[in-house]
Amino acid sequence: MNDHKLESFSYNDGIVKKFAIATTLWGAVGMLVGVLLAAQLAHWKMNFGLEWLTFGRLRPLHTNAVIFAFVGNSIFCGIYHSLQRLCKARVYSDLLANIHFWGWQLVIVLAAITLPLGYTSGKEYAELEWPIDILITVVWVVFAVNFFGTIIKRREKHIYVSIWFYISAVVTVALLHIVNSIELPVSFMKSYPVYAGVQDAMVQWWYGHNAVAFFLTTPVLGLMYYYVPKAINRPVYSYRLSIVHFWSLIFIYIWAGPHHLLYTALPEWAQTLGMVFSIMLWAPSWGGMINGLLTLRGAWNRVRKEAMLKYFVTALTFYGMSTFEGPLLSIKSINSLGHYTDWIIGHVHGGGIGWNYMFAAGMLYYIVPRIWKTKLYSEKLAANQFWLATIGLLLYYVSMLVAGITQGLMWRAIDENGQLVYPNFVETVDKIVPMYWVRLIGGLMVFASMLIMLYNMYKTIKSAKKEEQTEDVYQASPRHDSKDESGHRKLEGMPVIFSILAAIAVLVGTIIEFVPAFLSNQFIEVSEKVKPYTALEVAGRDIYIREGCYNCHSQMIRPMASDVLRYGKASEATESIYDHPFQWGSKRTGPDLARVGGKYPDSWHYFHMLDPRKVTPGSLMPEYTWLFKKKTGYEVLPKKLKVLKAIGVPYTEAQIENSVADAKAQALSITQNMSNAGVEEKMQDKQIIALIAYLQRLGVDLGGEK
Amino acid sequence: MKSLVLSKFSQIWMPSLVLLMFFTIFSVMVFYIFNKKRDERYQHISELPLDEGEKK
Repeated sequence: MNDHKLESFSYNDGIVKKFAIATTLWGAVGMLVGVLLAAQLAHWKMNFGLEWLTFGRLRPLHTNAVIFAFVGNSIFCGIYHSLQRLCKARVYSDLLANIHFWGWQLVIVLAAITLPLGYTSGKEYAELEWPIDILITVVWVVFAVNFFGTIIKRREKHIYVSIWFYISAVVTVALLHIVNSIELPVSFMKSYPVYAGVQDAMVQWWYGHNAVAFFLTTPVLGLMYYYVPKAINRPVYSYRLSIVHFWSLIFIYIWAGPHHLLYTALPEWAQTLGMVFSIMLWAPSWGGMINGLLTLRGAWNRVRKEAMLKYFVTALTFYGMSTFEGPLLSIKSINSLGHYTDWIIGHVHGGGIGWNYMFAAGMLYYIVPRIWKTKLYSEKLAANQFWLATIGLLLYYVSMLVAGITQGLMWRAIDENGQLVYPNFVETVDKIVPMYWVRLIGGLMVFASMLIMLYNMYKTIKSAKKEEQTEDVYQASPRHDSKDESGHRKLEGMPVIFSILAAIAVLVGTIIEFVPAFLSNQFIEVSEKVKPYTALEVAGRDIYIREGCYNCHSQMIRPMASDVLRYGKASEATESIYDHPFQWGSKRTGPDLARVGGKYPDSWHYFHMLDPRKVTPGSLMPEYTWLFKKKTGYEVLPKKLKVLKAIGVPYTEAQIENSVADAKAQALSITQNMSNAGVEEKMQDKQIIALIAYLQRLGVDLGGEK
Repeated sequence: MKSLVLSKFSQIWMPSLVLLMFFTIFSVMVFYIFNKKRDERYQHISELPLDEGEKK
């Protein structure tokens, strides 16, 4: 320090308050939707016969609400609070901060409206349609400008480790969102992604996995490195370990996406790479967890008394558990059992509730009383909330683990004659329904705990004195950039260079994994038997996507005996080359549909969609009665085929021109085929006919069963 | 199909090279960061969250 002149400044805690309130409100909404979904899986009638409350449409709302609304707002709350203090500077622009806040809330509200209405791109965790994608990009850029602006005007020379984690999140989330959302619009709320089949799968799970990594994990780790030391008023256990943790985590994480696609038609080369890097992730993840837990050394007696510390300890414990279980599930032999089952749902909620919710609650209990300059309304309520959430989470996790392993073992059980022991899929569902009720109870407890927090926060904020809600003035020395620093210390003082290096760390894995995926056309032999969908099948496919069928049905038969015996020949990459977007799915609440085409007569599908239990007793599937009333949108088919042609589907001009007439002719033919079953010809223009056309096409080009 | 993909795609050198680079950089980083000489420096940095500036 070359002089003692101090500069005065204040922190913008107004923006922190807004994000804190939004976190608790959206947390309650997201969990309420989750409870409703759990109820629907326990008993199918819980959608009340309303199309916009069905599982396929609400599940994306639940995931988006919890990830981007609840955790998203909590991250922004913590970043605005900690960043200003670590930089000893007010946020770069109050206006940009407000635009960021209201823009983000607008995105959430638009998601809450459009997803139940069936406007979806059909890609998990990236379901929002193109106008909202653009809005997300704009809001993220506003946030990034404000974020980097604050770092640049900081008074503290050194950039603390928390800010590195924030930087990696800001840069990587932008990259993930933009690359995964490249799509060509058909209309105001309909688009097709430019990627198809195996490429789309690769890009989607690169995005999907790293949304977990760089939205739900790295920024929260940054917050952990700030709030755990703050909560106990002592520095992090090992700052040096945090440096190693940061660089190895961001470098390795980006490679792990393909572990979501093990045993699929993705090149085995990429699958193995995903598995190896997932296992490598154990080391940095546990390094971070151990660093966090050891920071609490000597303060464990306080954990008994202070609810905030209970949340932090539990969050770190679940982080450790989830980051142990994730790599475990990435090992191919274990994945072959756990994939598509409820084990994955349990794993995800172990991370989502155990890590994200617990950490957000602890952080809010630290921030809220301080920025409102008051005391927490009830420490006892906070403790009760903790126990309710913890017991609820354990019920949730254990029930899903039991359900997943049970069903996985039943799917693969083969008798001495080489036949499936449980050939009827619904038999494997019946066995786990009791676990779905246990999950519902666990989910209700977690939701109730969220309501307790909402009440505790409300009472705390209400008890704050209005006259004290002014900004405090702080003093600190201006920044001095000394020249005698070297190595990593020097690098930490250069945010732009630092950000570029962080971006390179994540780009290395991205590029190397994308190269084979994007060169796949050169080594995947395109079978002449695989033809583009007919116009009516395209209409049916869009209905399949709109209803979110991919949330419960996969379209990917793995090359393992039990899958092949149950569903038919293993899926091949060439079969989905015209699939914009791919619909391989990630969960089998119902059976795989990759080769359902021709397996049953048209009338089977007709009556199954009308009343699933009439055809399959014990089924959990909702009734899709509205498909029998709504008309197929023929008029938009030429535009759809034109857009699909522009992104690589080889439609001829004649096919595009005649698409409406062709679709109507195919619909009439399907309806006439079902006349013996009592289906009237007037049903030909209804959406159910288009959906049947699509379902009957699945898998028939290569090895479909008749 | 799968074996076809493996036989026609022979760029295994890419992740191998990157892994080699990663472990080299990682080893250098660990050696540099955990050098005892830098104890004081990191102690100072680790205390940053505890200082929010002086309240006026």
